[in-house]
Parts: sequence; C-alpha cells; structure tokens
Amino acid sequence: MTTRALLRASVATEAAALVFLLVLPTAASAHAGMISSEPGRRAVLSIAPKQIRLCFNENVEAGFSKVLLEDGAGKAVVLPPPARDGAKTRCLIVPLPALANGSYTVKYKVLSVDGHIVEYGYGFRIQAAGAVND
Amino acid sequence: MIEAVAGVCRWMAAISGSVIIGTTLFRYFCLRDLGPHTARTDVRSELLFWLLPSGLLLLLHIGTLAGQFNALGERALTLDGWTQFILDTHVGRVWMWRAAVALLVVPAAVLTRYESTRPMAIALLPALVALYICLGPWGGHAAGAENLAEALLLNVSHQIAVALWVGGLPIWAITVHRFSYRHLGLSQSRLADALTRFSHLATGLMAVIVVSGLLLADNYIDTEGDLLGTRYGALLLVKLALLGSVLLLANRLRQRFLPALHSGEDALQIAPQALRHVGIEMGLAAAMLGCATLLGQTTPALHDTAFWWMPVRWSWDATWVDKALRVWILGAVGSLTVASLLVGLGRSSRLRILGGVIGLASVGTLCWALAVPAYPDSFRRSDVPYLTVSIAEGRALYEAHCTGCHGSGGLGDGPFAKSLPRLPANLSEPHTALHTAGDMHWWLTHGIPAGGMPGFEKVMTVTDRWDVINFLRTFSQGFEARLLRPQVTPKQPWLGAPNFYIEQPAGPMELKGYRGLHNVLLVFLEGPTAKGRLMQLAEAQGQLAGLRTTILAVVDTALPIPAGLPFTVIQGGGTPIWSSYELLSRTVANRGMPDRLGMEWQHVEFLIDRFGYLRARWIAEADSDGWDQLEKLYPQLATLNLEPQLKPPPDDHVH
Repeated sequence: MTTRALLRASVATEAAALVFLLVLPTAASAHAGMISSEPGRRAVLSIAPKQIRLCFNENVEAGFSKVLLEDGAGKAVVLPPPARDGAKTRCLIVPLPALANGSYTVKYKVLSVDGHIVEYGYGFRIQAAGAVND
Repeated sequence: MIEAVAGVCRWMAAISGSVIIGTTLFRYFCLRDLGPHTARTDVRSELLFWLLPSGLLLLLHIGTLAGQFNALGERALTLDGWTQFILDTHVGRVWMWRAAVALLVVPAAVLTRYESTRPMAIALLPALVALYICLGPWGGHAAGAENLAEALLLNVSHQIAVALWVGGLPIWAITVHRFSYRHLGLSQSRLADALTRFSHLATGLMAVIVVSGLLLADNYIDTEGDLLGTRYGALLLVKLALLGSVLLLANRLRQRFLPALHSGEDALQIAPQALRHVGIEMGLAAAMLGCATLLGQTTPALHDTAFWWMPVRWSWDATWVDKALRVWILGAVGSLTVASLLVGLGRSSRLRILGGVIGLASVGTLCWALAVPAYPDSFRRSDVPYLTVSIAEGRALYEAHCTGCHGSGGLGDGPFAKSLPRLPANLSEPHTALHTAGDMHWWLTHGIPAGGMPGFEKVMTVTDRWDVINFLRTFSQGFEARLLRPQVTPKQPWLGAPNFYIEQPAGPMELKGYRGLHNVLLVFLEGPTAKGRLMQLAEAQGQLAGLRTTILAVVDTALPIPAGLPFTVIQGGGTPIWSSYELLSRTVANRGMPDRLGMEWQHVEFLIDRFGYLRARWIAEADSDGWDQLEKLYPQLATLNLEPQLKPPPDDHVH
C-alpha cells in the first residue's frame, strides 16, 4: 500500500469514525446529574417540606457535598450537612427546619463518584393551602 | 493552576507507566530471540526505561491528588481533610490503592538489578504497572457509568493497549539506534524479525485502541454539536487527527523501513530516517496521551453547552421529507458510490482522478442538500425540565409577549402579523427536525430580524425562554395528539407525558416516579358528573390496581371531594397541570377555537403507560363510547401491560 493510498484509507477511516460517533445511539454517560428532588424543581407546596432529598444518576460523596438553602431574600437557612439517604448511595438528604411561606432556592455542590464536582440549583415555593401542586 | 499541575502529573504518570510495560513487552516478546545476553547487559536502558519511570510514577501519582483541591474546599488546607478524603471517598480510595501499587513498583524495579530476584521482578514489574493502569478508570468517568462493567472493560482495554504501544516506541528507537551505530551483536535479519513482531503487535493494539476509543467516545458524544461545538469534542477531534498522523508514520515504517532491513540494506543508511519517523511518532503519541488526560478532566460533551459556529447544520431527518431534496440526496449517494469504486478499483490515474472529482462533487451536493440553517444555540440543551409548571409559565409568557404577532390561538394570525416583513409562524404546525429546541432558544433570545421578530433577551430570563419553548412543544404536539383515542394503539408510544409533582400525605411524589411500576390513569374532572366518576373509580380501584394502574385525579377547587377515596386527588393546585394537559386534548373533530390556546372540556382522562408515554385518551364530551364503561378501559390496560419497553423513557428536557 502506498502512502497516498494509506492517506486515503486514513481519511476514510476517520470520516467513518466520525459518522459512527454520530450515528450510534449514545449510551448512558458518566457525570453526576440530578434526576429527582424533593421538593421538586419549581414545586409550589402548601405544606412546608421536612427535608431536601436530591437523587443523582450516579453515586455521590455525602461527606464532600454541600446543600444550601436560601430564602427569597437570599438569606441562608441554617442546615446540617447532607447525609446519604440510607442505603441509597445516589441520594442525599438534609432535614429542614420549619420553613415559612415564601420562595426558596436550593443550591448544591456535590462530589460525584467519578471525582468531578457538579454545582447547580433550583427553586421552590411554599404558599398557603389552596394552591397545592404544579 | 493547581488543576493544571495535577493534569501534568497525570499525563507524565501515564507516560511513565507506558514506558515500563511497553519496554518489558518489547524486550521479552519482540526481542525474545536475541537471548538473555543482550537484554541483561543493557544497564542504561533499564535505568532509563524501568528504574527512572518507576520512581517518577510514584511521585507523579502523589501529584495527581492536587486535582481534588477544589473538591475539599476549605478542608484542603488541613491534613484531616485530605485524610478524610482519601479514606472516605471512592475517588480517594482508588487514589490510595493506586498509590500502594505505585509504591510496590519501585522495589520491583530495583529487584530487577539482582540476579536472584530478576526473573520474578521482571514478571512482577509490568504486572504491577498494568494493575496501576487498570485501577485508573475506577476513579474516572467510567466509575459513574450506568453499565459499569462495560465502561471499565472498554477503558482498561483502551489504556492498556495505548500503554503497550506508546511504551514500546522508545525502546524500539534505542534498539535501532544501537544496532545501527554500535552493532549490538545480532544479525540484521533477527533485528528485522523483532521489529516486524512489534509492527504486527502494534497493528493489533491499534485496532483495540480505535474500537475501544470510539465506543468510549460514543458515551459522551450525541450530536455533531457535541463533536464540533464543545471542548470535549474538540479534544477528541485533535486526538483523532493525531491518531491519523501516527498511523501514516507507522505505515511508512512498515512499508519502507522493515522491507529494507529485511533485504539487507545498510542499516546505517536507512536508520536515521526511520528514527526521525519514530521520534515524531513518539511526540504525537505523547500528545495523544495529553489529550486523553485533558479529556478525563473535561466535562463530557453531553453535559456541556455546545456552541455551533457554522451557519448551517446537516440533518437527514429535516431534509428527507422534501421530495426534491430526496432526489438530490439519492443522486449524490449514488455518485459517491461510483466515485469510491473508481478511486478504489480504477486502474489508471485518469480514472482515479475522475473518481476524485465525482466524489468531491457528490460530497458538495450532499452538504448542500442536507444543510439546514443553524445558529450558535442550535445544539444547546435545555436545562429547564419538561414540567407542567414550566409549560404553564411558558403559556403565560406567550400570552403576554407573543399573541400580538402569533395570535391568541398560536396560528400566526395576530393583529400585527400582516404588518411584518414575513408572516409569523403558525405554531400549531408539527415540530419538525428542521428546527431544534436550541434554534428556538436563539430566536427567542436574539429575534429573527428578517421576519420582524424582536429578541426577548432583556424581557425574559433564560428559564423563561425555555419555559416558552416547553409550551410551544406541548402546543404543537397537541395538534398531533388529535389522533389519540380511548383505544391504545399497540406498540406505538410517541408522546411523552409532561411531568408534575404531587403532594401526598406520605410525602411528595412526581408523575415520573410511577415509571417502571404502574400505568397512570390521569383524570381531569369538573362539573356535575365529577363526583360520580370519582366514586366509580373508587369502586374499581381494586381491579385497576390488579392491572398495575394508579389513579391520579385533578379536580376543580369547588368540587366537594368524597371522603376516603383510595387514590390521590389534586385539588386547587391542579391548574398548571390542566393548563398543560388541555393542550393535548384536541380531537380530530375539534381543533379548538382559533383564538384560544386551550380547550373547554370538563372531563378528560389520559392513560399513561408505565414507561411515561401518553397512550390513550378519553374525552367524555367527545367520545360517547368511553371509559365510563370500565370494561372498555380494562382491555387497554391489559394491552399496555403486555408490552415490553419499546423506547427509552421520555427525556426530561425538550430537544
């Protein structure tokens, strides 16, 4: 095989590789992402939640993760450190004090099992009974 | 900065480990015919390729820990913090195990110097380094993969193959250099045999590297936006380009140098060029390892925001629907096939040139035919979940900002429509592959100047814009959902049910939480018949539970709810849920009023399968022959229960 022929083969192989990457269905990937939470993202609650529970798509390290809660004025609500939710190594829980009606923002920074840090946040609202869910 | 130091340590450690096992393989597999004499007296190369990298491996491994500085936060400044990190986290424990192995590598390398322990040490040394390499993926991206075994197998195969290939190059160069200039006391033909062995081995290793690398990359790359518009994708492309260059050089050596060596050509004449090639190959290989290190530290493309820098993208789905374009596409594919045959099988250079020209023209035609307009956000992913609250917010935002042009019914017939340079889009038309959610985000942010649409960057937050996109998706799908009926169409799930939260005495729940467990009968009720239907469903609860079905009822605030209902009833807070689901309640006979977004039903029920798809719908006012006769509902549930999972669950975000 000549170098020119090899060049052609190489270009063809790489083009095929790129097509392969785009055509093949993508498998589940690594990198922690939140898949469910309590309270839910943007939930409107009539009863103040008793805990924050965050579940991810891979194991997270409770000892090196942080969960913060801020009220509508941006004031931090004092929380204990997050703990693992029993045997569920993908979920963190944080017990909450009694929360007044209003808007809240949950911010989290978690160390996932792959050694990467993921930071994100979401809001929820507590309002008087009458408007329950969304 | 500290991340960069850790990255360099990781890179250098990878090179050190590679050199140790690559050297061992080369000496004891490729040079196996040369006898113990040659191998054992080569003290300098042993110092260079075994002892030095062994010491470096340990030091560099310690340096890699610096990469976790940010994870420790304020605890990074205390010994306790680091101890806790190493002992209590998965990554820390993997680091510790690898450190222990790296620590054992040093005495193993030293023991190769002593006659009595040499054979054992020579076997142990590469085994320990291989173990060190194999443990690496346990603490990297693979550790979080859903299919852990597969991810680890691919990573380990990839990294070991890379190490054996890369690590064999320096000893290859040294061997050729010494033979050429000093004559190591072996015949040229035996050296040629040894190098040929390495060449064959490297070919096999390269096949493993390419296949495992592509399968691994596929875990993190989904679209061309991921590949061309993210840092991860760019690094991957650089790695592929480096690999292509390496293959060219390797082939040149295989085709020119090895035959010359075999034919007895003077090694002194041909070696310098071969050594130059291998020198370049080593540089490229080191760069590839650098790319791999960076990839390990980079957010995978699937989780990054893709920036599309070209004015067009290429979409088969978007263009195949156009019959004229279909002709061009098929023609281009056909001529590309002819061109490939001409280039590959053509006996004269004229034919090959002709094939090249036809091929270029075909690729150009394909690029043109498959191209659709694109924007920097075209491959951007939404970070606002497809929730009813988002759809309802989006609907409110639409009513506040968009009805002037797009019309209060979304049909593109607002009062200002005719004054615009171009008629606004009729939003009831099906969403097509022609536009991505990212395209819509771009238009909402920056407007469509040619059509007279303003940008809403200063009026709506990013979340607001995704809310509007979520609403538009549901609104448009509502017109496709007109075909829904009380009967399940078997094996055709296509419409994802928008998710929502439910407050229950036992704690909060979400619709998505029923996936994999139960079908959900989602009932929207108001008016005089509501109470009767609730009672009827309460009586049928046992039967429905037996058919793996949960009832969720959303009722009007004013409705007195009978006590003791054995299922969840959402009252009052159900407005956003209905505000979204009513968009999915148009029928073939009733598209809704042209000046309204919603419908005016009093009683609608949706059947959601256990994988999260809306599969059937009963509208009491429209379908007289419906689920009020429960014996007509039960067969639908039985049909769903017999179905296996046909598609992945609906995505949490729109695309």
